[in-house]
Amino acid sequence: MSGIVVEGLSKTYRRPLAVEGVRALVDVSLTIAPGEAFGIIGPNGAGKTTFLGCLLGFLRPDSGRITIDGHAPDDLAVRRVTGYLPERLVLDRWMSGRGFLAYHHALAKLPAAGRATDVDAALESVGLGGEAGARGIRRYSRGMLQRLGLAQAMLGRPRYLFLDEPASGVDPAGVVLFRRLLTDLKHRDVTVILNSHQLDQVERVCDRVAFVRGGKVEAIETVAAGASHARMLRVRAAGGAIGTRERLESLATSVGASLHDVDPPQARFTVADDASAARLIQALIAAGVPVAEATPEESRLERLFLDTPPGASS
Amino acid sequence: MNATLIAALWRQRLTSPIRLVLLGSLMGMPLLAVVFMHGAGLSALGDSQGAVLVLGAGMIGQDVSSGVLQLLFARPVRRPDYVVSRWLGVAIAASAVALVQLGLALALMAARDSLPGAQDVFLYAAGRVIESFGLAAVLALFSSLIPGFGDLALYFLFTLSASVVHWVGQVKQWPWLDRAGSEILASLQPKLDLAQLVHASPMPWFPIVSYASTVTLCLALAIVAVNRKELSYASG
Amino acid sequence: MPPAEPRAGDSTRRSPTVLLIAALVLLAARVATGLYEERHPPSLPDLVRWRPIDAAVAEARQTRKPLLYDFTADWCAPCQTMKRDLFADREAAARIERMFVPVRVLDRRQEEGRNPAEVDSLQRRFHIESFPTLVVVPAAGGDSTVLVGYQGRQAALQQLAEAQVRSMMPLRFRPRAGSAPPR
Repeated sequence: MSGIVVEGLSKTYRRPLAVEGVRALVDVSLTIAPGEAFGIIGPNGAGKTTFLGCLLGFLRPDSGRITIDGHAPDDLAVRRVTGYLPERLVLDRWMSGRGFLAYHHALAKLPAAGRATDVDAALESVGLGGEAGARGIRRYSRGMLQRLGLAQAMLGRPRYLFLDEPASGVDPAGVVLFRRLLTDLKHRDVTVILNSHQLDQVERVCDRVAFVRGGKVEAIETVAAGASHARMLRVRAAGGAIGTRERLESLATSVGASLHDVDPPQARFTVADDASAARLIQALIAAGVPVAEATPEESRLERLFLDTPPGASS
Repeated sequence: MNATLIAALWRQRLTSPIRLVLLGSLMGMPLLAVVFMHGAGLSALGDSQGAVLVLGAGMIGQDVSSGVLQLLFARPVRRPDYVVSRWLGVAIAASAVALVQLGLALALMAARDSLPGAQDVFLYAAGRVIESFGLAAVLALFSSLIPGFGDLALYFLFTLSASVVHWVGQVKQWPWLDRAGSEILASLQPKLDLAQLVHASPMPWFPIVSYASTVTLCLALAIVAVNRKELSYASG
Repeated sequence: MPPAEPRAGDSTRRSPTVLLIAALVLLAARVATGLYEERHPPSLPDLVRWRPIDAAVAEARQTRKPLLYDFTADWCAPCQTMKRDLFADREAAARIERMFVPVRVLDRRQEEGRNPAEVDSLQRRFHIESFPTLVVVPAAGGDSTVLVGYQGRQAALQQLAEAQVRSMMPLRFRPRAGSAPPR
């Protein structure tokens, strides 16, 4: 059986002397298909990192079972095809960036013949080519460390890639780079498990997203990664002259959008994508509506994040 | 055993100035004794304890507390291989240091025309190597149980307690307590006095079996401890 | 659909079964050999040529080497350790032979109820209260050096070397050391 199958996973951290442990995961079950990009979102302390720890075989669940391609998570066969970027990245500080990648290349049992070429390509791919690669890791900035961490995780083209907050501490140029690299992965049939606070990143990269709170999976949403998807545009008119419902409706339909509701001086429209939103605003202005402000409402993930009442699961 | 891991341990130790300075002074001091003390024999070089402790401190615990193990164990690396590699890395390095020291001492002695016999040199060298492998196994066990450099603290704590037990046994003349203390002390610093084994008759098996038992037990328990170790931020 | 049982594969946390069994077997063997050798101790060859008490004094005068008295007893554990470290060790034994005229003064009270007269008299002369005690007596007379107990090979050899140097000095330059009264 290929892919990742999680069944009834529970994990409680026991503290010495404490009567009750901290329930980090409660009866989590899900399946991740091969080649799928799967996102995990949720507030801090929801159990996301614990879940990743179990998937990687670092933590022993109290109950439940995980199989990856039919193997236990700590099986050598799984380890050979796994890449991992931890959240709190600690690298062997005494190495150079290039030395570190060569070390992991060897640990991953990748052929030594291609080591120099592979390492240089990996450094190049995250923008650490040349001098930066030769520099000692102890002199790396936070963003450079994160880039090196990602290069390490992608060494040898793993079939399973576990990324825990990949873009944390990365400079804006790095964010764009990471986004491109992650999107590229989608065309390479890599199963990505992405744990991130950055909802737009998750939305852009992932096929499905699990929303985790209080150790439970509260919802799993299909986000159809890469595809643009419908969202809400809120328009406010200056001076309250937003116009009649009928007029707005006909304007909206003329550009392929639809009116959701009117509440002068505001109206909400459903638009298919950014281009559709732009056409709608253009049409409104052309029709003489004094548009003072047009803001997209939260994405579906943001709504999911915001709508779930805190503590609903505990 | 994993050559990549062993090589990485050596490279790390070579980039640690504190370890190198400590090692240099620990190894250099006895050489001074050879230079200035007339008639100082091989025994003036002392034992391998210092070298193993300096090279081995934090051999597993440091990886645990720094968080490096997370990346390492995500790789196709068997945990028992990791433990054995750490042990071999430290033991081989300490043996090499001892042999280099011995070589320098022999050069100094040769310059003074007071070279010890070949058999003595061989037995002494083998003893130092055996001692390095033994103590490195003990340290591997302590290091698998406690993060950071706690293994050193644990080692000294055990040595101190065993010495107290030994001492109380002697003062009170309780042979069993005396024996218990000296057995624990011997286990904390497993070594073989080869010169003695060679001359004794019949060959005493107890020291040999004790050494082998300490090394295998320490390694087995260290592997079990590392196998059971959970790696996470939440559980420390 | 329930997930398939994980295939029995090649775990990265394989338990060290062979090593554990070896460790347990060796532990048992350790206890067994320990008990056996406690009852049948392998004889360590004493590499020091101990001189008879009466002949030693004459030899010391003739060779001008200091006397080394080893006050010991068969039942005393640290004495056995010292014997193993010093007297059964080729290098240490050779050094002792070079520096001293060695004499063993074996206490037999525990085994036979009494000591030979010459043992008693030496014990009284140096106020021996515990074993092991090493006494270095200069050939030319003067203060003896008394080393009580055994603090390990290195320390013992060091103290013996110092005592030997002291005992070779002319009388009037000799620093006072040890607790034995002059002859």
